[in-house]
Amino acid sequence: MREIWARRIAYLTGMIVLLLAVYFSWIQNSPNSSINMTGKEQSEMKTGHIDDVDVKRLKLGMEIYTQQGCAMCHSIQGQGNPRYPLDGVVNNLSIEEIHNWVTGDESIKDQLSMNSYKLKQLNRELTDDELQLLVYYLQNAH
Amino acid sequence: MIKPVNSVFVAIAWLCVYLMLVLAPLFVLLIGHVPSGSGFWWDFSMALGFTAMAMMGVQFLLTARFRHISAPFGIDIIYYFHRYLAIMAVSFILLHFLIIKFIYPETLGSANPLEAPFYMTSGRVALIIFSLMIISSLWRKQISIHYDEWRLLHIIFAVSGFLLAFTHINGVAYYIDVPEKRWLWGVYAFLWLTLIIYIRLIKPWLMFKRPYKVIKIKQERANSHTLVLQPNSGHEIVHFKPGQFAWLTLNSSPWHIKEHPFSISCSAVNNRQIEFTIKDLGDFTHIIKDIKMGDTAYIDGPYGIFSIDEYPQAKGYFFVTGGVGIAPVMSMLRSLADRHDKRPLVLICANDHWQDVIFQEDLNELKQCLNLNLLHVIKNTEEISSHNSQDNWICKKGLITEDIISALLPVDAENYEFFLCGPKPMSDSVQLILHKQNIPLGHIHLELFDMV
Repeated sequence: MREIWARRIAYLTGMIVLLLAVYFSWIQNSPNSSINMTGKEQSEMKTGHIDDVDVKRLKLGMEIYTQQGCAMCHSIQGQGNPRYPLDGVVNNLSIEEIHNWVTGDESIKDQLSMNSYKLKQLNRELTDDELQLLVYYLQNAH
Repeated sequence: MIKPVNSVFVAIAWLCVYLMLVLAPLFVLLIGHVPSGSGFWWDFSMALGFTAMAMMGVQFLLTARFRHISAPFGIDIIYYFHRYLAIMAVSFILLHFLIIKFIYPETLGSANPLEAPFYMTSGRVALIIFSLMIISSLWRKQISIHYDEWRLLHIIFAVSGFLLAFTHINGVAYYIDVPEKRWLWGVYAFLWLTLIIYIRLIKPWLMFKRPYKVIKIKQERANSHTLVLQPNSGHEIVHFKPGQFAWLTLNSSPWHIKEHPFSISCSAVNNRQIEFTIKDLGDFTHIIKDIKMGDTAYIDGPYGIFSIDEYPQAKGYFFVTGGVGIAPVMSMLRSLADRHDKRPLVLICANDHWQDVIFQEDLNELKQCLNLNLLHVIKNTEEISSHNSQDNWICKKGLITEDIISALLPVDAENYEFFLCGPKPMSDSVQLILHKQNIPLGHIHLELFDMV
């Protein structure tokens, strides 16, 4: 019977921990924030401006984005890591600034954790053409 | 008298401390700059990861054998708690992974360790290690892992899994991207690592400074031996309550993790020696055959709340033992005799064969100076008499039944404390019988072994 009580108390403790984890997640997400939408919901928000861009370049850029594992840390249209969404983020940046962010340039070092900074530098292995395609994708894929 | 109410409060207080330790990372995350939400499931998955990591950290505290923590519960219960919490913590880690796997699959990237970032591989390997740790603990006997090898494996799994999980959290760096939070999380992890160092290095060193010597080996019945130990370097003998047990390291260094829990079987009154009675059951108890006079031993203990001294106001004590389960009860009976305690005592001593009754002669001697009603229950016998008038004990054939217990139950049984020690089926059945006889659960005491 002591064993049964030990199990009950342990499971009760686990449930309390689980409920508080749910509470933490709930208060982290305001009901009005668009970021609360699931990836699927955000995917359904696709705009029509994609007709105006070079679809072939966009597709090639997307391939590089996927190949470099950018979605491990970022999301576009709800696909990928929701912690750092890229939708609209590059709208106010010049091509050079986007380039600096993508390749982990010295100029952005202070704005990133050391880990993120080093990970971005992995993009330096890309050729200039590939970087241009990636930047083009970031500018238009939202 | 039932357990003091104070102990219940202390137990609840420790549970609150546990919850605070486990939930501390979540509170730390909510201090200062808090990143905006990333969707319920994402944040839920992260919260699960952080709390599971904290739970794994507290696991080290639960098995560190701190007497103040274990006292209100009994260390056996702490170990059970450790087991069930580990199952939940690993379930939370698995859920953390599955949420990401099915809702945000792109974030996992390649599973190939050559392509994936190190911190992602660390997380994956930690999950595998923690899962192996659970499997090897729950089914150790079924997969034929020797106890000593399992313990070593368990420690390696626990420490490596914890370090890899910490590397994963630190590498991913969500929520702890602010230096202050990273620092706090680092301190938190450092505390657990310090605890590991204490358990595995400092505590064995303290034991090493207090060695014991085997001064006598008494051959007992049923393939059992009693080891008599004496301090080897002038230090005081460990103080214990009758009925307690200790982890004993025999013929090995305290750092070698070759310790095993054994019951103390001698009196707790004015002793300069300490005795452990060990039955060779073919597993780690097999070492008893290799012990020689003069061998060195180290004691980590005493532990346990299976003791008459936890309930000093009882009107009497009722003991039920099976096989070598008599060992801690002998410690209690011998202590009561040394204290000239005349309170009424009942002992039901169950064994398979008459020749297997450990301490048969000692019990007869104790009957002379204690107010003891002794009943032997022998499973397989045709030879012995049902009543020995000379020694005034009674013997029954078969198993302990409700009839036997109800016949021996005192009229004022609600004022007695009941101690059960023996194989689990026996303890379970006697518990149920006592429950049927309206004995409150708080008056029935037993220690749970064979957890792994």
